Amino acid sequence: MDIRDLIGKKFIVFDGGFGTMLQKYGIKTGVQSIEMNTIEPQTVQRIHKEYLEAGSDVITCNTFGCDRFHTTDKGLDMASIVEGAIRNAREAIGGREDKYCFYDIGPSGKLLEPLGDLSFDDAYEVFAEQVRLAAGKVDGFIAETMTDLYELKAAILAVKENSDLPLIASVSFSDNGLTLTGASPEQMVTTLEALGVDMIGINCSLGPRELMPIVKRITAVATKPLLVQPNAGLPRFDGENTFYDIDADEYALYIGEMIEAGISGFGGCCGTTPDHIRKSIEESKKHEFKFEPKPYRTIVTGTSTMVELGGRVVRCGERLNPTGKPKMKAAILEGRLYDIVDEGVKQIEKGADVLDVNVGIPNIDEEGVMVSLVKQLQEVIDAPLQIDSTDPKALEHACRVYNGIPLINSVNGKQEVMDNVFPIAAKYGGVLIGLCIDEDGIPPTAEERFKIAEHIVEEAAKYGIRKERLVIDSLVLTASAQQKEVMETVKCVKYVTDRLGISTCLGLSNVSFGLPNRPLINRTFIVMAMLAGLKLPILNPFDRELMSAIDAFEVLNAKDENATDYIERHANDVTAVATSASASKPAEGDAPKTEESSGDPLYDAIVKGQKHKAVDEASKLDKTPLEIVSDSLIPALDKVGNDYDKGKIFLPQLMVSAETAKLVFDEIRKNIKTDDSSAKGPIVIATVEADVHDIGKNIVKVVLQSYGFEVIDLGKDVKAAVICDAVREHKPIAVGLSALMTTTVVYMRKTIEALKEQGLDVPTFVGGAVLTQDVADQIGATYYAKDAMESVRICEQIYDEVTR
Amino acid sequence: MSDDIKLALKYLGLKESPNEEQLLMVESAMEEIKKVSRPLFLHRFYPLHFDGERYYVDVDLNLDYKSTYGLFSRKQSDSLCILVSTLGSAVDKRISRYKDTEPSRMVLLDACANSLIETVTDEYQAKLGLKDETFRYAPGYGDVPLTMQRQIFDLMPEISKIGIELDPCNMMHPFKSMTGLIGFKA
Repeated sequence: MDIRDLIGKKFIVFDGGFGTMLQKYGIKTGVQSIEMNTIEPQTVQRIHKEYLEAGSDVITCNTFGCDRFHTTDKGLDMASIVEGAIRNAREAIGGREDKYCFYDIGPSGKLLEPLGDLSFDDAYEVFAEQVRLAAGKVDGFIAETMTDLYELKAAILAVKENSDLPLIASVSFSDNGLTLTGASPEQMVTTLEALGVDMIGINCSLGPRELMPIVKRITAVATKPLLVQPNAGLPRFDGENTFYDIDADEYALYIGEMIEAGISGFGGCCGTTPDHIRKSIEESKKHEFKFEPKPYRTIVTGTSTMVELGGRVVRCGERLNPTGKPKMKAAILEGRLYDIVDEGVKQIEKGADVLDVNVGIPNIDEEGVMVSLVKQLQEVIDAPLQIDSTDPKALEHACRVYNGIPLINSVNGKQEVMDNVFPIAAKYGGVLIGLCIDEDGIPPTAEERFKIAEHIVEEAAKYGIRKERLVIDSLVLTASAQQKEVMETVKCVKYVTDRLGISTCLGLSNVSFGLPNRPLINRTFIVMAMLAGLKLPILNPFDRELMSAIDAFEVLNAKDENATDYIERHANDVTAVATSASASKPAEGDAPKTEESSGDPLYDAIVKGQKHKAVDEASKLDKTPLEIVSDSLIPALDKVGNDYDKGKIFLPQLMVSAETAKLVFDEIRKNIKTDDSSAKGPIVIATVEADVHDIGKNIVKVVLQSYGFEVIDLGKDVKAAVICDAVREHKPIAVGLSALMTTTVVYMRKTIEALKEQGLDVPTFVGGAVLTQDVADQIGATYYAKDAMESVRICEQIYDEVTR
Repeated sequence: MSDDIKLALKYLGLKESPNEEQLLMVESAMEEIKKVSRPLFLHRFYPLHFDGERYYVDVDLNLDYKSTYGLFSRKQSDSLCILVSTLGSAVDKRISRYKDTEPSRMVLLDACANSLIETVTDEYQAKLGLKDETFRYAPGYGDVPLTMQRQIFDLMPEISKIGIELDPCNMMHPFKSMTGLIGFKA
């Protein structure tokens, strides 16, 4: 019998701790548990048999952590260990058909990008090679003790793409109620259910007492059955050994309590023994099995956030889209994805809950760009993303590397599109935007558009996608061109909300196209649409009035309880209007500093780090760019640099001034478009190979740029060969190298040697925490820069010599 | 002024006492770091032996260095505590978030995180109530090589359970993590 037929219908009983038992039977120190599969198969079989005799339905193969890092990389033969482990479990079971053997997948022990250096694809492969060895020989897979949902996603995909066996995914939580990467129990439930596991689980790290609140939070929201395998208490160390102190009787009482809280399976983790399992089974007989799936909620997740659709209005930022935005388009074409990431960060700061990501420009590698951008965005943005593309390949690949459960934009009523996109949503578990358009175009009436929505819902069901995982877009038409159809859109929003009972979204800005004062039209329209039920407006978060209209609507619609959010955001509105900007609190990003006025407003603005004011002042001045630089910019930076040297101000203040000066510099350079000679340099900078610390290098970059140098930043962990290539390509006047660690100074020397060997005659300046003048001399650097200001002095000196 | 703010100001290189604006900048950065940090700690005790020449423990951890000799002999320690702490990966992420948009803010947050990991580890250490404890010594300083990290990680596999990983250069991830050796009297 397939165990899937039993999950959710009766208690599924797993086994308990394996390491504890191996210790009991005298595993030698220095031997990994998995090695015992081939060294002492009889011991492994004996432990399996003890658990089977105690009453376990499922025994897990002794394969926890049997991946390439723990086998091949240590000179062990992975295939024979996996084979031995499965054979041991099979022999222990004998021919019994009511007992099951699961392959046990543990975490890789490495952190995935961007926190560590294991890529998602490599993580997938680490798991997939195990699955391929075990598929067909076991009754199912359990991925357990997972502390990062992203890594678990790789494991789940590895199992599902390489076998069709049952899969349980089990997560470990810390005592703060979160996983190590910051996911909550609710986020874990959403992710695992959306990825289509057969049973969700929690295990290890905590004892049953500490896991109880987490169990309750999970069963309060889960639509799938829960397996719980606690440790026998919290680990204690006596200086030599780890031990656990909850005995079998006490353990069983907790399992009983968890059954009352709604769990559907139990077992044990570290420190538990066959006795713990036996007593727990006895206890379970005193309780009734009841699995009650909770109502499905439409939730999307970011790296550590969740956004639920259907309740409050969710704001989706529309600005990561090149359509009609020449700057964004240029950034994509020139590969400056970090500019787009910046725009994303800003939208979040302005109140976007979700970001739409679209890179659709003709003749580019949309799939490649989309995947890179999604990876870069999730490095810095916690919020969920809405992956927006008409290219199914781009959608699929982006959904794959996405760290969470995304919104997918979009599917529509065209059969071909549905056939392409539904499988992606089914596999990766996204929430899909469904557009009310089909082969015949956008129907004029609300009733006809609603019919398309219904058709999309029906087709989705064929792929196992429930209607709550769809968000219908009734499509906004332009009021200036199709005035009468604007209301049809609003009507359709109401139909979908009332008749289908699912969420709706609208891309707002279209409505006002071609009319003056577009924001006024937009915010009037959004209120009408929200009244009809709109839950996911795709909008410009920088439109403060529009965002405020949503805030107000949420109060009036009784969704913002006690107007808490409204008051927080708008309590100071009146004051802000009544007083001038300069009298109110300093604007965001402007470092507050108290200094006397010098009589030169640009100089003052740079010293004070007032970015907007400085740019304004610079554009007002009737001076040549060179005069602006020599009269205001350099003196201001010198003052700040001096204050910093004396310890009057601290580094961030120096940097805010530098950032401000750079903005001014960019501004005045814009006015002399053809004359590129105003930039000095270039200077190539990099953090050397094996060193991933780039804060110091970034500081140097900003300060150098503020002094008008063109800086080519090669990033961190840069190999000598790459630096040599860059020198050949850009012909810089100097190369700046940064290293934080004593261990990476070696690579700094290698880089300098490589430059010399290849005959690249360029001065080098080096800096970083462990560098001193002596070290700089030893490794053959031309200059030692103790800080960013020193780098400027060095580069100025080199520049003077070069241009003399 | 709280200890973490004081230390952050020191890390930021301020030599004079901070003015109100500087204090506000650091306080807001510290608040942001505290919001995302999830400090986790681990420790183990080992009997520390002295054979008349050098200090050693019964496990695979080389303590034969001038700095550690000085550390333990000054207080005649007979026990060793290895303390490991981290602020969690979200802190790294938060700091890098400002890399391109606002490097000055990044530096502020970085200093605050460095200060916070020190101060929370101090608090954790204080709770252990170690008798005659020495200064907390970190591998990588003085003549104690960074490769000692590898020995510590091999010795304490439970470190991975608080989410710290060692890369091939013996750097810890998350960055805002610490290992420390403390001598004390049992």
